Amino acid sequence: MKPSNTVLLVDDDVDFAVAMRTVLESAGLRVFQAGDPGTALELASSQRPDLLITDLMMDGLDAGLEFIAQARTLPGLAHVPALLVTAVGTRRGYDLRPRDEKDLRAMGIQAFLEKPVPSTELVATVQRLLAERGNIRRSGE
Amino acid sequence: MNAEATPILVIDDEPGIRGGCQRALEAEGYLVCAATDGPAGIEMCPRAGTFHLALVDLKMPGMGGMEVIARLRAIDPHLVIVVITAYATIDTAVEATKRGAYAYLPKPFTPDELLVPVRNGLERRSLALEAERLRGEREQRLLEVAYERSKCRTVINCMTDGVLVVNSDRQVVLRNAASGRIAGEWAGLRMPVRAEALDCPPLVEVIDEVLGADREPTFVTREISLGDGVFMACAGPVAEPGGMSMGAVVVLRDITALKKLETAKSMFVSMVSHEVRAPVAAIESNISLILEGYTKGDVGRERELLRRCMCRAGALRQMVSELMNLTAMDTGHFSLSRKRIDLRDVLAEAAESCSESAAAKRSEISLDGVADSPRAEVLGDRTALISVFANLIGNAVKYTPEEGHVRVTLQSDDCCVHVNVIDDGIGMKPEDCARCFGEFFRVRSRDTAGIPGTGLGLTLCHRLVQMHDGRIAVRSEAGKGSTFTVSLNAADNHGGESHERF
Repeated sequence: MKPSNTVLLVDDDVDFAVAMRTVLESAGLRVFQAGDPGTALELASSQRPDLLITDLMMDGLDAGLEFIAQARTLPGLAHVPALLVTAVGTRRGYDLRPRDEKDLRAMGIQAFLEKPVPSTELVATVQRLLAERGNIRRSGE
Repeated sequence: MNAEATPILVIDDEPGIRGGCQRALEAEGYLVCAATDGPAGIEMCPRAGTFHLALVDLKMPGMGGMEVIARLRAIDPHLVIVVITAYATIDTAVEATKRGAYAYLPKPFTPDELLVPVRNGLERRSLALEAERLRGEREQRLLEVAYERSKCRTVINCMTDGVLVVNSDRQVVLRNAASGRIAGEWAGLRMPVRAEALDCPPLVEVIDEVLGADREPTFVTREISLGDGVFMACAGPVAEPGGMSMGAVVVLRDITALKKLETAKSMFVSMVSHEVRAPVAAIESNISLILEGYTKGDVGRERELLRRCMCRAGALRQMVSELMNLTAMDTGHFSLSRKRIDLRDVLAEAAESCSESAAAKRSEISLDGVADSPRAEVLGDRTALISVFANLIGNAVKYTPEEGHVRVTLQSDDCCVHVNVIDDGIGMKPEDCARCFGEFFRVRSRDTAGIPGTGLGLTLCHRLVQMHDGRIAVRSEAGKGSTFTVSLNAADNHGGESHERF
């Protein structure tokens, strides 16, 4: 069996992160966990994960999106898929939830989930993104 | 005596003429007074309006008729004077008329001959008075109109809202001073100008909607951005009494500050919703781990997850009560009971409330010389100040690694008591110092990961200290530690023993 996929998980809510990590590890994934974008960038650089899962509001309203953009400037991570997981569905009355592919592209993410995330939905989304990643790589390279 | 009878004065030295005139006039319903010479007659007529008409004999001993006429005329310009004389010549008639006599009646005369000039003269008098009244009224009216106009203009110009009046040809014909402050370039516009000259398409659209309405008067209310500001434009038709539209009037109210407040409020609501949903999501996730069997029956692991749930639920409950307190302060429902209290006791109690959490980290809280310092009395709300210092000491313990040191010191100067809460913990970057008193602000870094907090504690401290007319400040260095200083007015500087505020 080929080495398992790796996921980098960034969330400043330790409890929520540990719960997600438990679910992901049960699904056979290797999980690197960070509590802030700075640590996460170091891990991204050293571990080159197959997928990023990040919280949105950390130190800054859009810290998660900024983290994704920065991570993609790292070598080998230009096309890494990203899943945004947040407790903020709306901000100032404006619905942040992407409605379609176009909205996702505009945010620079491949999927969006609102907290709390049912474990089955989390695993299904992660597996779908990892599978698509293979496709993206093949068509992109 | 008939109160409405027209009063007539007869001045003649001849008793026969006086009596004859009196009888003839009284028979017609007039009220007649008679005088035997000029001075007596003048004395009977102290002011204008006493008599409506005077019959004056020209030839009288002492004061002559001509002088009597002049004197009477000076007293009452509306008095009708009829000259009666036995020595009628054209010259005396002209002279008497020059002096203000109305008619000239040669003696002898019949009662009918007397009544003709009397009636005509009285009618002339009432017409003259009526004319004068009308003239006075008209002048008053003109004055009032002029006054109303200037009042109107003053009021419109003093209005803080901008006012624009547009005619049916879409020309701006009038604008007030405030409108010049809305958009700088409007101040230079010379009326009338086309609506387009306002250089604000949304506003022109509002004007056109009002002007373009067919029958029903149309009123438009819309938010419009102009320069850096946001304005509420309220426009309605200016209608003639017949209903024909003559144009439109637009009132522009500056709602920039309101919009900012609205934005801040909605941002606050977003923050609250995030800060409430995050712990709930964490609690739900932990419980699902147990329910869905991820703990594989490991009771120790399950207890740990449930303990975290309790911890998050407790923090959530605390946040809700802190929010309630902040809201109460905002709406003025939070009252302090300020009394003369000793800060040394307050600090001891605040430190005691944090001792357990400090002990858990083997950290030390020391009240450096606080007990030995001279009395430090302030006019304060004991409960509120204990919560301020418990919060600061609690933060110092939380943001200091294990076996840390938290020192509390007390200093006083001429007017103030200063409390310092000093730690040797993780400290803050300068930019974080600047915003740490803001709502929901929390330093989020690898050092603070896992430290519970609501992001409202320092906000509350700040507000409570402000309500005590005090100041709170922070000095900090990342990696070295932080010092929070609260300065409160010493009680001695206050006149009263205690008073209520808020």
